[in-house]
Amino acid sequence: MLPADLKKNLQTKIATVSHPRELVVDVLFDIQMHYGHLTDEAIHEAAELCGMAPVEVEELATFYTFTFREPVGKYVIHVCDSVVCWMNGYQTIREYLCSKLNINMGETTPDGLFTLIPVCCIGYCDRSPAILVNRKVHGSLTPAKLDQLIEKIKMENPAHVE
Amino acid sequence: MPTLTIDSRQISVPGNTKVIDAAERLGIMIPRFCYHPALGAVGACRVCAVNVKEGPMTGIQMSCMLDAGDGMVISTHDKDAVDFRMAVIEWLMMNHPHDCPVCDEGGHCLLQDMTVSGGHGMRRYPGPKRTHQDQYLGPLVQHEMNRCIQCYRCVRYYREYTGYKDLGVLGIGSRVYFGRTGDGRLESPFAGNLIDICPTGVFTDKPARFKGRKWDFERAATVCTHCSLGCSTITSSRYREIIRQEAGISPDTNDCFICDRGRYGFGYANLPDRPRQYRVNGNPCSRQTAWAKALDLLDTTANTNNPSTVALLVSARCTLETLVTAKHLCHRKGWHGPVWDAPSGNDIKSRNALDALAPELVATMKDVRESDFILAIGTDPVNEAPVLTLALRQAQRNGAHITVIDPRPVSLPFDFEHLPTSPEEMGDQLAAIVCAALGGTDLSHLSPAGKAFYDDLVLRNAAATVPDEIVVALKKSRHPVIVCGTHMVNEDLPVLAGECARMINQPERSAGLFYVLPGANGFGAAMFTETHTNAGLLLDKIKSNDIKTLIAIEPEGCAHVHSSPAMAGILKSLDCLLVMDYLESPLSRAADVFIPTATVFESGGIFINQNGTGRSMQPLYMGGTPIFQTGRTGPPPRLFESDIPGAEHVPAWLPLADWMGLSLSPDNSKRRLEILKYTIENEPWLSALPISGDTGETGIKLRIPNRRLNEFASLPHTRNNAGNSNSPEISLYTVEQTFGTELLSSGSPALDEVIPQIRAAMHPADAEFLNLADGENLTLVLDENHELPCNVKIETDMAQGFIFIPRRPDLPWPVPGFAPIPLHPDQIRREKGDLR
Amino acid sequence: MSNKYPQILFQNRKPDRIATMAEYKESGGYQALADALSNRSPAQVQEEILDAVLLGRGGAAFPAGRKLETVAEDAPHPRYVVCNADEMEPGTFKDRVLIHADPHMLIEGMILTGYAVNADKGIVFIRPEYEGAAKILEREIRFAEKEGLLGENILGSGYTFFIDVHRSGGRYICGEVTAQLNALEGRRPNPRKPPPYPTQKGLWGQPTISHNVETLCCFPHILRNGARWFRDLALTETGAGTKIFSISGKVNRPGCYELPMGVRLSEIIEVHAGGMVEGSTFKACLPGGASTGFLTPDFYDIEMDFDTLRKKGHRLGTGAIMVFDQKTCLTAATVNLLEFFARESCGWCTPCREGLPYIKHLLTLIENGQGSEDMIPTIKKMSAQLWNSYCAFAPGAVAPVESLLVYFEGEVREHIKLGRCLLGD
Ligand SMILES: Cc1cc2nc3c(=O)[nH]c(=O)nc-3n(C[C@H](O)[C@H](O)[C@H](O)COP(=O)(O)O)c2cc1C
Ligand code: SF4
Ligand code: SF4
Ligand code: SF4
Ligand code: FES
Ligand code: FES
Repeated sequence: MLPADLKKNLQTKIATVSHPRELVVDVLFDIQMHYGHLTDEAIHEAAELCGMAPVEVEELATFYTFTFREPVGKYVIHVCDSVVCWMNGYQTIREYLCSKLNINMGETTPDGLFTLIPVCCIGYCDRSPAILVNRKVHGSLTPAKLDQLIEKIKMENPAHVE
Repeated sequence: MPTLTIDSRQISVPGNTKVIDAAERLGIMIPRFCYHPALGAVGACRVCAVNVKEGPMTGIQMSCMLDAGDGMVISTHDKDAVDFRMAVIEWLMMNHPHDCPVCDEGGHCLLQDMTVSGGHGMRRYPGPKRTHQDQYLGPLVQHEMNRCIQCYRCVRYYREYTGYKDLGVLGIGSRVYFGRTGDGRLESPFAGNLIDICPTGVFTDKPARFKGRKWDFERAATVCTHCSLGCSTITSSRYREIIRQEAGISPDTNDCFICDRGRYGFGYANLPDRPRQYRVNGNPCSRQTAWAKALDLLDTTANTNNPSTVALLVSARCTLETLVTAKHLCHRKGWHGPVWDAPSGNDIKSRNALDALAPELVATMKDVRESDFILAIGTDPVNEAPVLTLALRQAQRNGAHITVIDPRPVSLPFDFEHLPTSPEEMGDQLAAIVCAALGGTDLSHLSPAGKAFYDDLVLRNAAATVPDEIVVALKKSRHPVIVCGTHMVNEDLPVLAGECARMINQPERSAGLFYVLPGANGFGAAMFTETHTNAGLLLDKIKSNDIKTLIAIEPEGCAHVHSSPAMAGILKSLDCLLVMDYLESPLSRAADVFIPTATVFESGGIFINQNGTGRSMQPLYMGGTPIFQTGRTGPPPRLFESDIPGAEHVPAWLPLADWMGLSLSPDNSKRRLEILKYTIENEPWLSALPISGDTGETGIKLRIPNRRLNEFASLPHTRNNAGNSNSPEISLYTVEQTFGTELLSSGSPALDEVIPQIRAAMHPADAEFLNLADGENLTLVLDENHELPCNVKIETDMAQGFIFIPRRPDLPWPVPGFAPIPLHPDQIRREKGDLR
Repeated sequence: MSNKYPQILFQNRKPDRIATMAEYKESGGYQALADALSNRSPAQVQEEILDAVLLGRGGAAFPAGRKLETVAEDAPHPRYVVCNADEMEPGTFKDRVLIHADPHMLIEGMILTGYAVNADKGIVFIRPEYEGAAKILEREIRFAEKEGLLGENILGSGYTFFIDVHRSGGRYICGEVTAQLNALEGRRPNPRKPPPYPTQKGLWGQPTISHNVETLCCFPHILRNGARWFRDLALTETGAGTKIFSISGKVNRPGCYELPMGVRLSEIIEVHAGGMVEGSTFKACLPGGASTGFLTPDFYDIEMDFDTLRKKGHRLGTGAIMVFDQKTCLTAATVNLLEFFARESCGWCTPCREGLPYIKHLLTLIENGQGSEDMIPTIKKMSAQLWNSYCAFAPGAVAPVESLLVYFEGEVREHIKLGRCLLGD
């Protein structure tokens, strides 16, 4: 169940627009932030908030890149695999991440901290190869930079078990 | 009228015609997957490509998206177009499982046809196939997603055409998936149409799974007999069993779709316990014995008693042939009847409706779809005439304003205005809306009587208030339709509705009138049954010994309340009970003589739908006990007989014709035409029907003899007085439900699972007064002998002072006809202990 | 960095921060708005834009002035202006840079566009990766509102216009105008085929003008300095204005550069982008995003404007130049591009939904040395057939494949002959 204050917030936001469904992506993002991913319950809650049928929300949740219908780690790493990153060392970055986290693309680390997902060009080709960590960009990557990044996150989440 | 050239042939078509349709007029069938006449063009599948040689945009174009333009030159068999279409088919087959041998669609699969005719005979694509997981969609529709070609028809039909919202398109790209948020029964009572609309085997008929291919079946165009709309159906049978039904196409009626009641309601014809044998005193006997016994009994009664002590009971499920023969038989013999075994008062209301149905006002479903304002009064479309819902939906999609005035918690899959109103007040609401809309307009189209009628209505309804936007919408409308029911209304309402339609049928506005009648042949029953009597009176006459012999022909209410003690007592006083039916019922079991009759699938016959359109059906098959029930499917040795087992049934009109002394040919098909001829020749207003019995795809519109001597003759009394608003009594009304109340389909095993639990709908205020909560179990004490267990359903959107219970034939009703029963709070009991 | 050309859209660009509203105003910002609101009719604004030959910078190069004209004077209200900040075309990042450089330029551009068609509301549709830019815009919109430059009765003129920021859920197809309208309405972002055109019935069935960020950013400058001035910014006769080129790949200084329309490709690479990286030579580039065809060394000196490229059978697209060097296998690069398009296909129409994976599969086999000669004509024919898809996505998607098989067919065949990729690892 959504916490009352989040629900209230969303309702207030929705009340300001003329078509509640125009906010469905925002609502999904906010609910996703709360649950970690979009659970079945989340789909129904979003539908109710936006005055839509659950399947209409499901149609969107399964369409978009940044809505997760399956559990993901606390940190979702989107690795850009489009052409500029591809020519500038995407493969190295990907392999490095996979071996460092010991998971394949599309998987989540057992401690629930990281999920690796390939993603299309994220618009930082000038700083390729680039990745997103929870939608925040990190560019011009090298294995050393990745080490720093991962270690920093691990340090910030010392006792992360799920 | 643009003129264009397609494959070197010229054709002129109306403006706005798509090239794909223009070609079809020339007999050129351009391949299509996403295009469907009822859904329109969306250009998704790209298989309808043609080459435009001359026109505003030349080259490959999608013929479903392209308006036929003057001077266009189009080639459908040009190499580029053929190649492109072949490529589209190859793409569609990339992920297809190629499982035709185990696919129920095989044999009538558009994808098979297109793949073969498109010339894609060899698989080239070397890559792997993507696969999907299927969902459980309920007992009626099977899901097999791997076969999908992503034409989007299903979702467009389900969401846009019908307005239901539990089917969608999930995912993206080549992984798009057509399904629900999870396993579960499809909510729409029109879900079965997915089977027809899906061009592949994704959605197939679940009860009919693995029971045969199209070419295995005996197939015939039929008419649905599960409500008064008379939708077109196509029925398939195999091994003496009806296997499945599909929607037929009828632009004036159902367009391309039917409801699931109609699709799966045929099961009664296959039932293992369907009475297939003649019986005397309950014992099986030969046809000769039963026939002789029946004659004997009729002779005796006729000799010892006055002929008027013999009564004949018919119902709206009888064919026109049976009804007319019954009428003439009664007249000739001086028997009482035929009596229409209809729910209480529905006979009179139906007759009143037909009286008011002026020919110029008759609206078809097409008119409903195309209208811009609909006022439905005293009807609950989804439950009483399901496909009418789809017609209303199309009107609504085109911007029509829709209002429903009805006390029930009417629910429709789209936005509409509901005025929950008691039956007494519905007329006032209607009159108030019409008067308000007509106020200040030119009423010169009305006769002096009409003017007086109008003035009187205005006077009487001066106080009634109705929402302004309804009045405004009516004022603006050009094609309004008044839809009026014949169950949840008082006797005068159909007349008032008719007169209102006549009043708003002004020069600048052509109004339509659409009645919903009881039963498949309610129209015929209203026309050919005796007006001065009804089922209730008949029972009184039996009680008072004025009727000693009862001949019940395919009865409805009476047959199914007989288990009640009251009814049993009544029947005891009969000398002789003769029942003809294809359903087993308490009445048929009590019969002195029982004659098994043929279903419409076996006898064919004519039905007149609610707007007076006569539709005939040819017999589909001979009938007889389904082979799987005879136990003779095993290996030999077998008994070889020339007779079909269990096929002794006769059309109900046959014994009647015999008693009347009509000499009919012994040959089945000849005598069918003979009785038809008799029917048509003896009822002048049926003369438009062809003697051949072929009424064509759309049926024959019959000119209803306008029996009302002068229009606007009498002002119907509106509400007598507010009366019992202070009394603690609550009226129990029995109402129709999509599934479970209509007699024939409620016996269909395929629908068992979709029949909802029995719930008593009541207004929150009444529930509060009775101290009942939603979902609570309770018992309604109908009288000393009848108790009805049910469950409370609180509905905010209904009138106060009522309890609505589905009119299921399997419940213990005290009286036939399901008349409203006033209930005192004492008669409403919690499961454990009394209320309060 | 040697950039001798006038900086218009980038005039307030800072290396480390966004320009403030004060800085924008100081550079002449919001003067065009004030002037238009008090001195020009919407029709006059439209005329100026039409005169400036401002071609849409989102990829389709449709004249902005002509689009404005298609909103009928008596069209119903509310009317909408949608700013397309989806920018998901691989290689393209100019809109992000523009918003981060000078957000008020976009805001003023939207208000002016709104005024030109008497619109009531503007919406910035922004991809979710650009959350930073979305936040900046939301903040700056509030600042503009506070100063009366946006909202009710702008600058006392009686004209009212609001701007909202709408985040996408993230898909390339959401950049296509009609799909974007569906996305904005909370529906599946499949394109809608006109008619009706969005300018007649767009968002919520109301008249809607959609423009790319860069296009909108040109509005204030055109109105302030005149159409003639704008046209004269270009180096070529057919071009008009400046263009933000986003350069990436094997160059020393990937990034965004504002250069006159018609500047030569060689100059962009050598002068502005700092030349090829050490050890690389120019093999080809995609001149305008992933959905344009390869330019070979033969085109190295081409004048980069819409018309010149079109005449040579190419497209300037978004002006996103991705530079490939001699060590990069273009077959593999094209497989990568096809992977992008196949993944992002919205799934509505058959050729794109199924044909792209088909072509991608064949080309992958070739790249892996498992291809056969007959695959080449199949790919060629199928790519051509994909032009008959529902929207412009698929023709864009096959642009690299088609040009690969025009200019580098030999390289592709080499894979088949040798049974491996010469350049692969
Ligand atoms: C598949 C596809 C994706 C597109 N993506 C974008 C985009 O991300 N940003 C953009 O401005 N235009 C994009 N466009 C172009 C738009 O459809 C449209 O032409 C443009 O936004 C109009 O604005 P303009 O006239 O200012 O260029 C895309 C077009 C297609 C077919
Ligand atoms: S399920 Fe059937 S109707 Fe629906 S998209 Fe697939 S093939 Fe078409
Ligand atoms: S609406 Fe009535 S006639 Fe039509 S299919 Fe359903 S039950 Fe049969
Ligand atoms: S070409 Fe077809 S499938 Fe591809 S994005 Fe456009 S509409 Fe969708
Ligand atoms: S290709 Fe990776 S950010 Fe553009
Ligand atoms: S039938 Fe025309 S595109 Fe599908």
